[in-house]
Amino acid sequence: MENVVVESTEMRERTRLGMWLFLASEIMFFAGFIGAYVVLRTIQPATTPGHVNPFDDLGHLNKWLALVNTVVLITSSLTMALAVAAAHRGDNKAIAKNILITMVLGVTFLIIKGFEYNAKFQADHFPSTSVMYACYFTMTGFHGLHVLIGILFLFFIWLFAMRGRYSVNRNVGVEVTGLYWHLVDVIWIFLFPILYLL
Amino acid sequence: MSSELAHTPHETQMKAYMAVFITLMILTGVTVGASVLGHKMNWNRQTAIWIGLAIAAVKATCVALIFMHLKQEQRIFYVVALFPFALIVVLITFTLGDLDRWIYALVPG
Repeated sequence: MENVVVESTEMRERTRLGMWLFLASEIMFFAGFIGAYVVLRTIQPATTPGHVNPFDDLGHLNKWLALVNTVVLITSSLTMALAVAAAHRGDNKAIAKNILITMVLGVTFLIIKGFEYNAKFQADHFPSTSVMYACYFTMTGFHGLHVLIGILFLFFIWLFAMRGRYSVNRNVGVEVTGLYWHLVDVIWIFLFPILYLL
Repeated sequence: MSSELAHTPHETQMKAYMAVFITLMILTGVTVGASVLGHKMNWNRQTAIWIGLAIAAVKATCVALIFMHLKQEQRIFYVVALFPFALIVVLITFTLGDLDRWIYALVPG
């Protein structure tokens, strides 16, 4: 009975455009943090006998865990794209399978991030430790929150797909959730080099 | 977008997704390589950050065009997607251009 519902082309376009507008606001939200980070880091003089550059501590961040997390998120973007492609075919089984893999990868990302945070807390590094750690925890913390919210949305999409809700004419929910998940990946693509590598 | 995507053969779409996935992985390797090179050659901070952001921008473009299907969308979607990036360029370049005064304020002594 549920598959009788049909989304018009106009309704789907409006929904996607609305999501893109929301993503634009999300981009600006993170742009503020990244802009502040670039400025704060650039204006710090190099470490001298009279001054310690707090951003020297960036070398203590675990870049290999972050690299693994980058691979995890990029792979989850691929499985999300496959889920959206399956939604366009109305293949609920393939949607559920790919969404489940995406969720598992999202949870893996958060677990790895948890290990990374734990190591920092064990070493007495908190957001109040220095301007560098304030930047690090704020940016990765808000990004992690977005991953968590994305996983919650994915869970509902997975539930609906298991119940056979989606069809060729009813799939915009999967599309917009996919857009949100890809944005989470894009934000990490920027955070990874500026925090861990450069 | 959906109608155009629905007409895209399944295999062509899968090939595009795999191509983007491999490109993203390679560019991640390039980013790590550039980081190692930068540390060895002692690039200044600003150069290193700009190189990192440039590679990230290429990766983000791949994700937006193919994974997020921006390539198949109407022009209004491009305007919405690109507008914040125009603001970011203004935000960061204008602020960085004004940094000279602030650097002196921070130098000890």
